[in-house]
Amino acid sequence: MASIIYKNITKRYADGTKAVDNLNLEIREGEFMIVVGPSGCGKTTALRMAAGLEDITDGQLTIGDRVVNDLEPRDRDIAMVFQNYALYPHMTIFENIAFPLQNRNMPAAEVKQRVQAAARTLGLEEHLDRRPKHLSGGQRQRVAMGRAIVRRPKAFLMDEPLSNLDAKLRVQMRAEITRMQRDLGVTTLYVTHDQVEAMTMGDRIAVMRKGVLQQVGAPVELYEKPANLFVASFIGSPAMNLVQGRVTNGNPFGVCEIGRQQIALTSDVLRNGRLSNYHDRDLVIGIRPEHLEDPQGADPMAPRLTAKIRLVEMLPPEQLVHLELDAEPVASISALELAADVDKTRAENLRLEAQSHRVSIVARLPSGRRYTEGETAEWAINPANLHFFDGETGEVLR
Amino acid sequence: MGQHRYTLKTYGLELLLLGLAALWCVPFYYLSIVAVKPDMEVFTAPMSFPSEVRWDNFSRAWEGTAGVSLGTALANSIIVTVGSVALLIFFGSLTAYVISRNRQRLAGWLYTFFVVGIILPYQLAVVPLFSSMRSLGLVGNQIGLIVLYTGLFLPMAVFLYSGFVRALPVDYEEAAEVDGATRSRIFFRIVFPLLRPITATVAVMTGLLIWNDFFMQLIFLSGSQSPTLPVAIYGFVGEFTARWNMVFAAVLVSLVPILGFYLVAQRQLIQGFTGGVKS
Ligand SMILES: Nc1ncnc2c1ncn2[C@@H]1O[C@H](COP(=O)(O)OP(=O)(O)OP(=O)(O)O)[C@@H](O)[C@H]1O
Ligand SMILES: [Mg+2]
Repeated sequence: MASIIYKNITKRYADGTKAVDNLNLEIREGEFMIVVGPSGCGKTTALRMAAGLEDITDGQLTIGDRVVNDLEPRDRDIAMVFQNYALYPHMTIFENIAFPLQNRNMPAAEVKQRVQAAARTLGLEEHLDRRPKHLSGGQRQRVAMGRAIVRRPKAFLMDEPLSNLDAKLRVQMRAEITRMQRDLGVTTLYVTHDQVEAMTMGDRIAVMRKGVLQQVGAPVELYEKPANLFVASFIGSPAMNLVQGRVTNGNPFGVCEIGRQQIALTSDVLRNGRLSNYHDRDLVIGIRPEHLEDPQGADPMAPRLTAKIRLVEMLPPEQLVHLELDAEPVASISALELAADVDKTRAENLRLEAQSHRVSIVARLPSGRRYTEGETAEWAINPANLHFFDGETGEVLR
Repeated sequence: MGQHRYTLKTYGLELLLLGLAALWCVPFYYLSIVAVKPDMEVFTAPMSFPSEVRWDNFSRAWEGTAGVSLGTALANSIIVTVGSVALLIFFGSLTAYVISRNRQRLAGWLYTFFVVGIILPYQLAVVPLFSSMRSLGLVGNQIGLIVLYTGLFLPMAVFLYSGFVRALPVDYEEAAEVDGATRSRIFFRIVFPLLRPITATVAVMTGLLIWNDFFMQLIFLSGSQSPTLPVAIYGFVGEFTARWNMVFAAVLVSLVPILGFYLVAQRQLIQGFTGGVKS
């Protein structure tokens, strides 16, 4: 067991692509760290540098108390699970799992005992004599895990190990890997582009975008206090609603204007952070879907937002109510770019909305009440739950 | 698949193909009948069916010429072929692995060097080769031929292996590296087994070329006490007369090992030509 520390790590490929840019990240001893981000953001590159499969252009990488920049992969004592598992096709499952041990010249009896122990943990005992091609996807995944745990390495590195499984198996293996990591207590660096995996599995999450680390923190921390627009839009499903608006004086504590509607702010909103510098300037307002509440269940004093119900998706025990809000969509170029990084279709929707002066937002409500499509209704908002971002830089303002 | 697999058209096509296949058998027919003709009839009626089937032609042919039996020649051919093919597989796979995985420019040049080696006709170099081999004591024995063939066909082996190695996913090697395997273990435990289909192809292709080669064997072995099959068979062709029935009987005998080998290795051979690695 050991910590992994990235210190000012940069990776530039031979063709000039800067895949990882000045990464500073510490994975503590025994921690389960998830690196998440859209395709091409440099997750795999970061992981492969820890494995030693990719040269480090700049910076210092430490595993345990040893700088490993110039250490061969075989001398790093880490185990890696590949996206396609990379099981040796010509070897039986037993030989596959035994391979890392045999490389260390372990006596045959001990190898056998260890492989069988690993196979028992993973439910692979009956398959030890078979070849990888005769196993199902889930079983292959387990063999890959077995090959990693059998050696009791200093750390596990996993590159999207679940992406080749179907949805149901993925949920099951997600829990299994998490449990195994807790049991073994081995430092783990896990790469995924799936934010649900990130939220459910890790002790902490590191969000990357275009080679740059955006934020590191516990899942709840990232969800509740995103450092910027990118993290805010990337974490959470359905994603955070974003509209353009401004904050003005008026009322005792200021007012948040969305379209022609006004939401009275409370003292704690304006006083914290840099929001006070943004009076009368366009900014991006973020509302999580679950923070749009039905007025009947909410605080009667809470401010209201009026929006038209366009579509109701029943998903007991909750429902997603799609609303149309008369307001300006987020139009700044950097915001559009951000959205494109998160999800292509989302960016396209934003662009279409920009012309119509309407914003589509989603409310997540309990499934108990019925809403009629086409009607206009009021929704309660607790101003303390609003997020404010600078439209140009994407920085959080509160 | 429907029930009407055989339409009139496919039926006709099949007949045509069968006919073509039969045409291929014609040489074998003549090979077989000449092999069992009495000595004189070879000249009087070479194409006719033998008036008398002489099975003892085979045993006479087996005795060979110049005191070397066909059995000895067969053993020599096997030694030369197996020895050369084994060396070709070893050096070919290792060389191809290194130059295909290495990203430096030198590796690219080496690859080109080997490709040029395939194109150049080696017959041009026979005279200098012969004299230098003779001064090394490599003329007239099997070891000399093994060295010669390994050199001559290494470019082709490297070329075939390189194509395959390039298509081989690098993940297996990376996984092995992280698993703590040394370079040589990665090659011999992971890469070489994965190269099996192309190894079979290389073995069969170079094996056939070496087994059937006459030119080099005649030059480097004729008159020696360790002739290979083609050289021994050529012994039946004298300065004034050629004992064609002996030649043909000997040829039939020498076909047997090749056919056997093809039948055993045929699946791998086809796979090596057409496919990559399936995990
Ligand atoms: N060998 C390489 N040579 C040049 N550029 C590369 C190489 N490998 C990756 N890149 C580039 O580096 C960037 C980061 O790639 P990387 O594979 O680390 O992304 P990723 O976050 O793992 O993406 P994904 O989710 O699609 O796996 C991409 O722009 C990619 O095109
Ligand atoms: Mg990747």
